[in-house]
Amino acid sequence: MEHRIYFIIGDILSVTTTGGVVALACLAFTPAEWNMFLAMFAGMIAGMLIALVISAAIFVRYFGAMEIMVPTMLTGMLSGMFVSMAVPMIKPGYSAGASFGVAIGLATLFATYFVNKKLIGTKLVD
Amino acid sequence: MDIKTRNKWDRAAKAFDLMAGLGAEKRWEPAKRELFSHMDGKILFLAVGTGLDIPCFPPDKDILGIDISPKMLAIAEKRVDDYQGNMEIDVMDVHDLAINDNFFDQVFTSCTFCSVPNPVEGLKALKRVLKPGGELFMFEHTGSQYFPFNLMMNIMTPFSRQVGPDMNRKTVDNVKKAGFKDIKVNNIYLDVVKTIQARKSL
Repeated sequence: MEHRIYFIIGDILSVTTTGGVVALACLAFTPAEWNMFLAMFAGMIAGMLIALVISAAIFVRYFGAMEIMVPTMLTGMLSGMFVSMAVPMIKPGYSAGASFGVAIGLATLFATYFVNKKLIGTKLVD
Repeated sequence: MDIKTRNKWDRAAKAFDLMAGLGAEKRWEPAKRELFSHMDGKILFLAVGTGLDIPCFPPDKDILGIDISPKMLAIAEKRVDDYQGNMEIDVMDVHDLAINDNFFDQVFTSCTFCSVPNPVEGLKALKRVLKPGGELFMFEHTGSQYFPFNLMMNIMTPFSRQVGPDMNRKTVDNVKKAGFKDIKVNNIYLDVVKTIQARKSL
């Protein structure tokens, strides 16, 4: 479990930035006339790719590799899915969409911390 | 020699420390130091890269570091020179190890088997050069067995593979398939970043 404040701040910065940027990108580029499920799938893939670029270009070099990539890509995937799905349905505004993306990022990070706490440790395989 | 793999890592060498140096190494340093504290006897370090792990090695050890990329090793030279022990480096492909059977007491890897093209064959090659009862110590990132991490990593691997590692390798299974025994896994982050210890049968 990560206790070093430097890395905790890095984790929070990476998921909130990714969640917000992916949400804004999905709001800007998802056509409102698309089918909801098509938008959701496209948003999922685009969100993960955007997250990969953001994490690799900015956050990985300062805060860690998989510990950054996993929650940011998960954030990108979920933020992309939900925000893109919302565009054909309710077309949220940019500030609401970005806030939702940031919230998804934080929720994803806390969920990942929780799962991590359950999984870390030693086991004998064979 | 796998030229395609060598060229990929030669291309990555220049920016490797910038990308992987600060964040990952700082974050993983405690776990790596703990793993490397087991170093003893004649040691093979596979895929030494630019030598980022060398500052975590305990002093006064006898280590041969190998890597498929000459450009990575050129960057590693300074860190090798600074090491307070006996360390040599050489260009070598794990699939084509020019080392006698039963030669090393221990083999160490660090973020290596995410990239080795034929991981089971590579691990079998490591087993060959280990003495009977010799130990394998690995610090690796692997795929996850848990949803949604596994889905995400499977989707991303075709992209990440173009510039660096696979993200969905089943390295623990591969260690088992290669015939190692007494396998002990310590999850460092989720079931993704882990240390693996195993032994070649007597």
